[in-house]
This record gives sequence, structure tokens and C-alpha cells, in this order.
Amino acid sequence: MDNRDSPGGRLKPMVSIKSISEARARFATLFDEAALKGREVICENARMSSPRRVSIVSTQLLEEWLANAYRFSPTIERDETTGAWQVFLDEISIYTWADDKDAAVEQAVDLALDYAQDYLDRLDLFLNVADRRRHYPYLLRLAHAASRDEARKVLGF
Amino acid sequence: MGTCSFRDFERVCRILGLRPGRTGTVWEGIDPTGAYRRVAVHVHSKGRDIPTGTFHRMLRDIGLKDEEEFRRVLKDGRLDR
Repeated sequence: MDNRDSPGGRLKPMVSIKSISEARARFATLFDEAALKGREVICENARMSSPRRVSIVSTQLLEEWLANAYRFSPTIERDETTGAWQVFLDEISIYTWADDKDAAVEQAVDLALDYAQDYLDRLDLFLNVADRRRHYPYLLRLAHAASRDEARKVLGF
Repeated sequence: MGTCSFRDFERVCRILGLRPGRTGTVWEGIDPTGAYRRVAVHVHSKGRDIPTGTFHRMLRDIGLKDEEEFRRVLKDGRLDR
């Protein structure tokens, strides 16, 4: 396939796009393509008034991409006025404060996990709020954590 | 830049139309400008003065420009924009 001579700069699709009925009929094959070969499969519902597409990708690859592109950089600092330890997870607008540094960190983990659950429960709300929509990939990383220890690592503690 | 009492912060949240969320650690709602706002406070932090850095981040989350606007909302009982 050669895209260099395409008129109007329009490119030929490099990723194959399947209709829902085709994807349904060949789902086991497409699953293997995504899971074993890392190939992205796009499914399209052309019947909708504005056609929507969904990508099927390997979860392992998705987690790698998220881990590389959406890293948490927590800030831990002591407030001079109150003496409290503050923890800021600015990527997801989560902040905590406590007398003890470790307690502040654990509270940040609590709030981040609560937020991830709330976000996924009410995805339709959060994806429609601009400054919340950008939290999704970070919270997805957190939602994939299998334990609190893993969640703590994802958050950068 | 200063700290803020937790009670004052809660009062301003109420003035802005935010209410405690279902988990009890969240204040959320639609503010007078029509924007969704959410701010989370850990249950163990409730009642304690809010340190400076945290306070200023929380102001941003509830849609206020700065501490001056916060004090004005607290004094006037409404957001004047």
C-alpha cells in the first residue's frame, strides 16, 4: 500500500476497520490479532447517525502506553504555617494534609482510589467536563492496579 | 497567601451550590456559572485548617480565582461575577 500519491492528502487506512457484524462473526480471530500480535482492530457502527468507532487493543500494550505517557508526579511538602504535611496529586486534582507525612500519603491513596471508582461509575458525567476529562487516562491506570501496594506505586509513592 | 478554616471552606462550598457527595469526602455540584465543580477532602482532614498550598489548589477546583474572591464570597454570601 502506498500513501504518497493520495489526492488531497487523504491517506489510505493503515488499520483495518471492521463493521460490527464482521467483527462479531470473526471476534475470536480479531481477539487473537490484538492479544497475540498487538494489532489494533477498529470496529465501526456505520448505522449510527454519526458513525462511531471503537478500538480493540491489547490490555498489556494499553497499560504500557498509559504507564509511559501518564505518570504521576506527587508533591509532598510541609506547610510552614500549620506544620501539616501536604500531598498534591495535581494530575487528578487530589490533595490531602495531615500531621504525619505517611498519613497524608495514605489519605491521598484513599482519595485517589475513591475518585477512580466514582469516575468510572459516572463516566458520562466526567467525560463531559473539560477539566475532568483529562483525568481519565490517569484514573484508568489506577483502576488497573490489582492491589493497594500497586496503586501506591502507580501514584508515584 | 494564607490558610483557611475548614468551616469557612465548607460555607463557601454551600454558597456556591456544592453539596456533600455520596462518599462523604467530596463536595460537588453546579456552581452559579453553570460549571460542574468537585473537591475531595479526606474524612480525617475534616475540621482541620487547610494549609496554604492545598487551599489554593482547592480554590481552583471550586472555580474561584484567588483568596480575595474567596473572602468576598464568604462575606457577601454569593458569587458576584
